[in-house]
Amino acid sequence: MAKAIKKRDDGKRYVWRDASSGRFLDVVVADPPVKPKGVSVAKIREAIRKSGGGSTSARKQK
Amino acid sequence: MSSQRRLNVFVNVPFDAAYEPLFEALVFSVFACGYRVRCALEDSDSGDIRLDKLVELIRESPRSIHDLSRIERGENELPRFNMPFELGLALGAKRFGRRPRDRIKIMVGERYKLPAYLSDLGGNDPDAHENQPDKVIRIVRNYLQRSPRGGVLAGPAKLSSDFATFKGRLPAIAKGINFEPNEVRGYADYPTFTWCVARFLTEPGTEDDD
Repeated sequence: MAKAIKKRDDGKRYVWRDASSGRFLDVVVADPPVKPKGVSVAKIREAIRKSGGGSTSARKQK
Repeated sequence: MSSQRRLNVFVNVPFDAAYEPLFEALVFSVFACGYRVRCALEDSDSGDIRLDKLVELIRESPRSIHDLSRIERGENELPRFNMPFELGLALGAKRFGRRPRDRIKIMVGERYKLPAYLSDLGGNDPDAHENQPDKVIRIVRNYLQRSPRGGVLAGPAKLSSDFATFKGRLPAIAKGINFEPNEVRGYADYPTFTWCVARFLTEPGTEDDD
């Protein structure tokens, strides 16, 4: 089982495991230029979490 | 170059229903590579002059992606010149705007057809997506090559897999923010869609790891 990724300082990283090296790699995900109207970004984050989380299968919640 | 500006990727694509799956794949892959999409959909202020808005977006974007795949006539039997026009603006900015380091990617639907309808771009080597989202993801990923900080990007297959996961969960995400599933789409509500993409990419997944 993989070790848990340390919590990042900004919490905006897309993390995956490199197929060739097996190492965890990441990029910082930029904020879009325009915020949605009528719904908060925090609400979006909560909805994603409740839907089963994000795409980063390499990370596992402990 | 400011830290924010260097992330910008101007996207010049057709805004029609048939293109929406490709647009969503394009948006997802740009954000997954650490960059951010700039396109005409981000500003709903109808008071702005459209050309001024386009010029500003191109001015703020050192990278741009242009799709010239729509060469058929539209519903009104007229061809659509917007995409070639905006590509011309970006090429002009690169050539005459003292921005030689601007990087421009041209996509087409089918390889080898471009010279037949835009021979002035002879010698360019556009990438053909054949109207397949996975190919758009591959083209975008290989165009960007590295993250803004120079890091390695996830491979096309990983990006495609994550995009499919995102699309599968989007109805539940939409429900969670009191939207109908078809209301959070690339064209239907572009700002909300892009924030869903960006936040999805940064949320921990639930799949087991070996």
